[in-house]
Amino acid sequence: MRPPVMDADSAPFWKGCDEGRLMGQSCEGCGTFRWPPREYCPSCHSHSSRWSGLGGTGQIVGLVVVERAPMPGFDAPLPLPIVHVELDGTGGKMVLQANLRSDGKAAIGDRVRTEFTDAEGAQRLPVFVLQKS
Amino acid sequence: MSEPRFRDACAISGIGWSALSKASGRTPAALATEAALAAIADAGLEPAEIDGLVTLFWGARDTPAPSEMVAALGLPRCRLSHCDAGGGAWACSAVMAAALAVHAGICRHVLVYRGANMRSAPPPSADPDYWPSGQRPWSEPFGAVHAATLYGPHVAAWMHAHGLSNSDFADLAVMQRAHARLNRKAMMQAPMSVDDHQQSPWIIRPFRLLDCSIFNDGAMALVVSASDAARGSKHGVVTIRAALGGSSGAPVRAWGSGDYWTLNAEALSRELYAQAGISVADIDIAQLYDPFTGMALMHVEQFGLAAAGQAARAVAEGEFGLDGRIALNSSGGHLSEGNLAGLGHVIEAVQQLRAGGVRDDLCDGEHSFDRSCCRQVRSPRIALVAGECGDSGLILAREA
Repeated sequence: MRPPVMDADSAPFWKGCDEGRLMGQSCEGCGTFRWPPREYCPSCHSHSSRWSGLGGTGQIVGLVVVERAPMPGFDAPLPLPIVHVELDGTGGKMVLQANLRSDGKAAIGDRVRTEFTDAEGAQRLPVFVLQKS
Repeated sequence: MSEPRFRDACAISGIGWSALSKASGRTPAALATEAALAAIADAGLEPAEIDGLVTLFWGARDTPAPSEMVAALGLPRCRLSHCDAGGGAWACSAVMAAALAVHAGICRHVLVYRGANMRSAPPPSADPDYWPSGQRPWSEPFGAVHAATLYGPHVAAWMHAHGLSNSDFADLAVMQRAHARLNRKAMMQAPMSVDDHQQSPWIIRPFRLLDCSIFNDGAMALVVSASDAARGSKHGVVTIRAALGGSSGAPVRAWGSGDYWTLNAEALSRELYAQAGISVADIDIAQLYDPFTGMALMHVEQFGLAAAGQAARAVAEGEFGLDGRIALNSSGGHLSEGNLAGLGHVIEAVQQLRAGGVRDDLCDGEHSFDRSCCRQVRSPRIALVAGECGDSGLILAREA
């Protein structure tokens, strides 16, 4: 799988992952979370924003499980669950897509928390883990 | 919203296609030229009368460039070269772009085409040609590189909200296969049962193999002309009653707000029907983008053809068969006919609406409406065609 593309908008997010922190960007003008991160607020068009650490908990709102490589060269271990998680404290605006560490029994509505991958020399990625109910 | 004077001002005057196959053994230019020449002849035109070109692709430029087609067709002039990079989401806006150029008086006859060896020579997946920013950098590191992984989470959310499971997708796949078996150009001709669907392997949950669009080589083309210029054609006139493009933000309005499965379709359909001056009750046939069964069913609901959560039930009860309330994906669609990024949906609507009807079913002579050989719908007048997510849509009409 390709490493994330770090650009001027996304760099604070990926640097946070490398430090083991899930970072979110919110607008200094109206407070709305911006996702994906960007210079101008889509709600009030303010240029000012702030980055802050998030708790990393949230709820699964969408999921798929890749059972078969969808194209040649797809090298992720299978089956591969991919979830969309609405992160707590972001007003429903920050829905992060990432893999789930699970035995495949996850469902929409399940609660998760964030951990980070740790492969030497590689960009660390967020990964979700099911919270015990 | 466009001016009412756009309504019915332009027509789809010609349609054409090459064979659809797993391995064409030919170049995309050859395939596109075959489809183009067929569409131009079907419109009763000479190639030199084409003065505008529109093509569409997703990501990689796998279809011949307009400049290549100018040369291949020997066009003396070309006044519009438009490459639509939205793929199937913008199939209908590719047609709209052609119609706008004709309506503006810039072009007289615009060819909309796509030719590609999507199956035998797909663009290298290691080097996707994505937008410089946006969604893909946030999906690719997690293995979400395929349409099923991009749209699947939203389909799963919709299924969860309405208590649906994969078995609810089977009837649509089976129905579209039955339609394809009445379509000589369709790739998939083997009979399919609900059991076949349920026995097919998981690809990307919630989708099994028989929930997925097929991939193929081939080409399709159509010609957009002024309706005045098309009158007198042996096919009658199939007009563009309304057209709309756009997007609510990729890929789903609900990305980070509200519910999690509302496509652009919901907003677009309301405006499209208003622009056309019709309601859902006026629609006779619908050709809706079907990358996956579940996505097609979401389109059915969000275009207002069934209540929320009821599309699968309505399919199972026969509401969308060739003799149903609204004939849906009567060619077999992407699931069973073949995939030219939505051009096939437009062409099927034109075939169903024109005088003489479809010409590639199994009828020998006049249409019999015997569903063992005939896929012609009985006297349709109004067709809805939708690109992926309802990011573009058309209302086509048979001129009285």
